Amino acid sequence: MPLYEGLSGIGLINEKNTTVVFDFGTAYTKAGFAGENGPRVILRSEVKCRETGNTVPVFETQDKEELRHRLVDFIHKLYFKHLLVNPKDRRVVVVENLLTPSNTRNILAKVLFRHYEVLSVVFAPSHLVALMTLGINTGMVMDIGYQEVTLIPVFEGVPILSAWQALSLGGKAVHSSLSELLLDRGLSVGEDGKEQRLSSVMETLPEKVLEDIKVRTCFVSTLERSSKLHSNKYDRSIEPPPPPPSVLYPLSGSRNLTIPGTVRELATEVLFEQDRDALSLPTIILDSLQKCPIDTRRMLAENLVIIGGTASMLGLRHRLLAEIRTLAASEAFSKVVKINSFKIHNPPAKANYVAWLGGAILGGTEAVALRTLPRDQFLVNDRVPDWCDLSCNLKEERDEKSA
Amino acid sequence: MAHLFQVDRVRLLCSCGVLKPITAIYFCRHCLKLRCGNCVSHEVDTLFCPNCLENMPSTEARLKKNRCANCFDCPSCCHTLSTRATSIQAPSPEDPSKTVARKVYYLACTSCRWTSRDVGLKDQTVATGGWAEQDNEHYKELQTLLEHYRSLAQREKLEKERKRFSHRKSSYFSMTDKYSLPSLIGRKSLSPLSPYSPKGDGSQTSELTPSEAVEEVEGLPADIFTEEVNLSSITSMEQRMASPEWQPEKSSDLYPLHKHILVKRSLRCRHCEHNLSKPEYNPSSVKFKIQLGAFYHVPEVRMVQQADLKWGVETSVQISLCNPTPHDMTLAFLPFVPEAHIAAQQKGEELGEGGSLNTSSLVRVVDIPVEKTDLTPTADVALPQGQLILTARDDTAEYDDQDANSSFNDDPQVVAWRRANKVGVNLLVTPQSGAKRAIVGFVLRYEYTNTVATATESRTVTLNIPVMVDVGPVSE
Repeated sequence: MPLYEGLSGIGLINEKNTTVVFDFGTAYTKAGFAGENGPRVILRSEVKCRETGNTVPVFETQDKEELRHRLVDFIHKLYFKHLLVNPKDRRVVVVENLLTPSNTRNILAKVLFRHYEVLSVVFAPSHLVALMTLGINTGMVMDIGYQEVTLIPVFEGVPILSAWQALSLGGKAVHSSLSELLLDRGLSVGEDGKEQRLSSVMETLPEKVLEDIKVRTCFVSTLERSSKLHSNKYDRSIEPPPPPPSVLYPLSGSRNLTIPGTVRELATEVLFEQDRDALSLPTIILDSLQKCPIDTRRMLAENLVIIGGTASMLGLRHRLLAEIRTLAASEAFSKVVKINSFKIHNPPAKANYVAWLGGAILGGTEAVALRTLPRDQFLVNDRVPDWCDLSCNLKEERDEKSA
Repeated sequence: MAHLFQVDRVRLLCSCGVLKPITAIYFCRHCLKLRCGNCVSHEVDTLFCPNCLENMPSTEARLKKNRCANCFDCPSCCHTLSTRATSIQAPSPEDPSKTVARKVYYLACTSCRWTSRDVGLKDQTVATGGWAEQDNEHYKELQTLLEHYRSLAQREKLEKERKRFSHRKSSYFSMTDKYSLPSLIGRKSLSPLSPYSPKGDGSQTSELTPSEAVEEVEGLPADIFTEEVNLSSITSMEQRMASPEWQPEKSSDLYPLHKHILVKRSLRCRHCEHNLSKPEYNPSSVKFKIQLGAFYHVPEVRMVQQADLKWGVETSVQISLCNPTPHDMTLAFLPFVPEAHIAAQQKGEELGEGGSLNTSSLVRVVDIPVEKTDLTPTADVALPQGQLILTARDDTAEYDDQDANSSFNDDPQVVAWRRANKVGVNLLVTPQSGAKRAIVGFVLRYEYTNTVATATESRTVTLNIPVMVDVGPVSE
């Protein structure tokens, strides 16, 4: 037993080398220091491309070298523009999805260890640490991000991996639905006041404009209104509810865009419409419950935790609860999932940085020294031990570690 | 001089395998190798506020969360806020029946006209400071959570250490260890059962009341289906992310932001840990204490004139070489073979690992992955044979009209002209057919006079630097 370990343990928390906590997202990256109440910065995951000089999203590339270059530049920006600390010999907590591709994780580790020479990295599963912000051990954690929504039930601190669910619904899906609706129904108003179909003026709307329209004007409608709108599609005799007022949105130059009220309401419907496999946000929660052991289901259903940037959309959590309750009572599910009580948690943070906050709490404890991947260990075989890789989960090896 | 602003035309191959213009490359005097921003270690040197140009010690910066105490940014457009003074009539402190004029201050943005009065912030009686800070509404809750998990982690550590001695294996632990974290949380429920659970510590963990789930969450505001939307009253994503902890959704909730401070970076060679660049301490100074840029140590290659290039036609292209050092320099051109260079680089790396042990026994150098760059030339080049001598840089030479040509036995086929520390050289370039731009590569071999005072090494060293020159567009 090292004699002075106690000292360094205390030092970890109070000393100047505070652990850095990152939560890399496809759209936004959260970064800050362990033990703090909120991230120092939330910024778009974008960097300047080395060759072309254009701003490109960090994670949207298939090429390994390209991804490494982008990460090097992006992390440089995080450390020297926002966190303003030396990366060298400092611990890092990376909050990541359990379903992160091993490649991405390895490249990230390579960049942190080789380029920035960090002392150690903890890869903390985002669904698990999100529960730490609530002080609970059991919960059905749904992370609605930009690219996709992932759902992992956690029971007494153990993720039930066999019941994970993922769908490519999230901010991006809302954007493409919004873009489609706007091009179809949006009216562009020129300087002379003449109205034109938006699709006749431009073919696509830039991603940033779509995001701004989504954030400032769109909302998730209630279940009653949505079902009325839906049935109106098939049966014109049913009167649709009066649409919310339309919005005049300034586009570039002297051009304005009239966003009809229906578009504001319908853009987010894509999250709740069942696709060809009859999957949507509410169904995957029930599907996952169905896959969980029978005696965990009630507790999980009464501990729903919804995190991720898209979860902060106006009315989303309310709608989700209503949808789940209706679905659970419906024929398809009432026989298999006999649960009628669903409860939802209110995390002590904005939905988009709950996972980060969990990482910050974890990073503020001594666990960061115990459950960590040190640099020396990484440099031996240039790979992060992976939960889904059998070669890293050999029985003897683990026993040696725990012994 | 034709291409002073096209630095990308002539690029040097850095020791990490990246091609960069000479202005983006450093020369480590101790390793005698080229280094670039990709392969040096960056460090935070000094912190300062970009508005008041005030230095900030790192401890203070940590406490203030990297923000300046006195300067503010506009929460609406991120421009710097300026303090405005106005006078108001206020009841006099001595005699409440009388009013006196008092000076009060508020913050205003000169760019978007946002003022602190817009959002209902009270005017201040002092010009600087005095603005109340925003608090996180969940502060207490989060502190108890942190305390709770700290004591859990502490306990886990104790247990682990006990286990290390007893060599006890429990199937429960090995099962949960798989997901790196669960045992930390999972043990909480099990700890009363564990024979090693600390007895006296219970009080600390029981403080925590786990969050309660609720049946209903707040739905949509009732008027959303009828109320007209006023776009300017809803904040944009940038405005929300500017204060990540609060993320105000309405413009009326915006709060002045403390100005984020900036850093000056210093650069250090990864292999020998010497500084390659170190800025001066004073924030308003743009000079450096140490600046080992390659343009002070490596002969600079420049294109002199743009030649018309045609596929398969040999054309004479003039380049100039300039000696920036105060020592005479012998120089030669060698052909550049990319494959051989890559092989040598890998070999050198193996050697380098062994060598670094000699130089610093304690520090193990962590190598960055070798970059793969496209090094294939698209034109053949006939390089001049033999050696050239470049005279030392002499700042007074500019004022001399003296012709220095006479003293060198230059081959007029090769040397076009000679002026002080510069020399013009003709290269014969034959672009390959099909190439859009003619890119030639050669190795610059030169005698470098070592400026670091070490008794053991000889003063001059021969260095090889691969150079890739983009000669220009090629036509048919």
